[in-house]
Amino acid sequence: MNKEVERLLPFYVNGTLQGEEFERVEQAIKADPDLQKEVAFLARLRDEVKTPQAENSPGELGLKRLQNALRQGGRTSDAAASASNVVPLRNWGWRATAIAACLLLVLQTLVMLPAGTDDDLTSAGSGSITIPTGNIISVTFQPDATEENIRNLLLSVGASIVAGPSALGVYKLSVTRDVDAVVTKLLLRRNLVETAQSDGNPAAKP
Amino acid sequence: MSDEAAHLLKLIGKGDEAAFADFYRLFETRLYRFIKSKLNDSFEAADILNETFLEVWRKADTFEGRSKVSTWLFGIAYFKTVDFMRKRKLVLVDDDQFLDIVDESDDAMACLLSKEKGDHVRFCLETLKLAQRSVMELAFFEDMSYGDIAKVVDCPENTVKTRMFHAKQAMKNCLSSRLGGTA
Repeated sequence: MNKEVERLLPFYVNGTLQGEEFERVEQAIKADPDLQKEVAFLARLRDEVKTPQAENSPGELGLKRLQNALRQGGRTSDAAASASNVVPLRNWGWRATAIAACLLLVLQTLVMLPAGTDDDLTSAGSGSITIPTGNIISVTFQPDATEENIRNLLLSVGASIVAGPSALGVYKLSVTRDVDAVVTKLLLRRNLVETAQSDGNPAAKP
Repeated sequence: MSDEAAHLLKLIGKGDEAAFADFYRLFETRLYRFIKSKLNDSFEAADILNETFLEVWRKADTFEGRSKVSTWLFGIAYFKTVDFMRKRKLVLVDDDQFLDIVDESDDAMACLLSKEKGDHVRFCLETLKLAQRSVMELAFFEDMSYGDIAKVVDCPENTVKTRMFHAKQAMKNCLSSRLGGTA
């Protein structure tokens, strides 16, 4: 096979070759069965690379974060942000929320631990590790939301924190009930929840 | 889309937040996929996505239109990702010394025709070196020309062609071994 033509094949397949290069490659392909096989392979490979994957990008949640950052002076903080490479969204409000959520996790862990010989305590997890299942919701809390309020809210909708916080303050909640109804309920509590969106059911993804 | 993106970028340069939101929605999914394919960490990928769009907001008025908007944007994302990986010592970015054992069997094609082809391709993409994976993503997911890819990853056009060639060979080897069940 002509090496130079072979190096151009991926760009023939993706339709970006033009002019003389395109003509040269096309002529070479017509005359060489090995190049034809190579084109067929690359076309299949491209189709697979293009196949949409079950990815959950930040979506509107990410946009909301950006808009908050702009309000805090995204353009004016150019030099500082570039120099320090720090995301302006990482503010103390989020850290406070992160601490509150960590406390919540510790509390939940304590409740899940085996009760031992204490007759007046019942182990919620029966001593086994529970793997989170169900639908996942990405949520951010208001900076001034307290741990107690977050805890009560999550208990009321039957949600558990299964991941997070990310550096942007995003938590992943697992819910077993109707996910859209839970998102709606969360968003009704604007004093506690800033954003909430369904990520779907990871277990159901191919 | 290219004209729309350029128009939005012009408005963003004047401080138009609505245009910024439209611009974000236009590119967010593709850009996130591009970043995450290198990091395989959704939280870090979201952070870099965030930084990339903040850079767009700050630098929109400096865009001179000498390249496509998408080329400029993916270039920002690429360098933020590479910078992050360098700081975390996650990868040797400039490694162009690729092993070049060519699999000439038809197993790779057979693998692409198999029922599990999607899983095989995703697995094999993950095994590529960053330099190869970036070029393959930009060529086959974004359908960029080698000239545009060279601008995104800031290297000569011939290097792009070579990286793509080696990426293809590596994919062939990996897919063949997947079919044989040895990977």
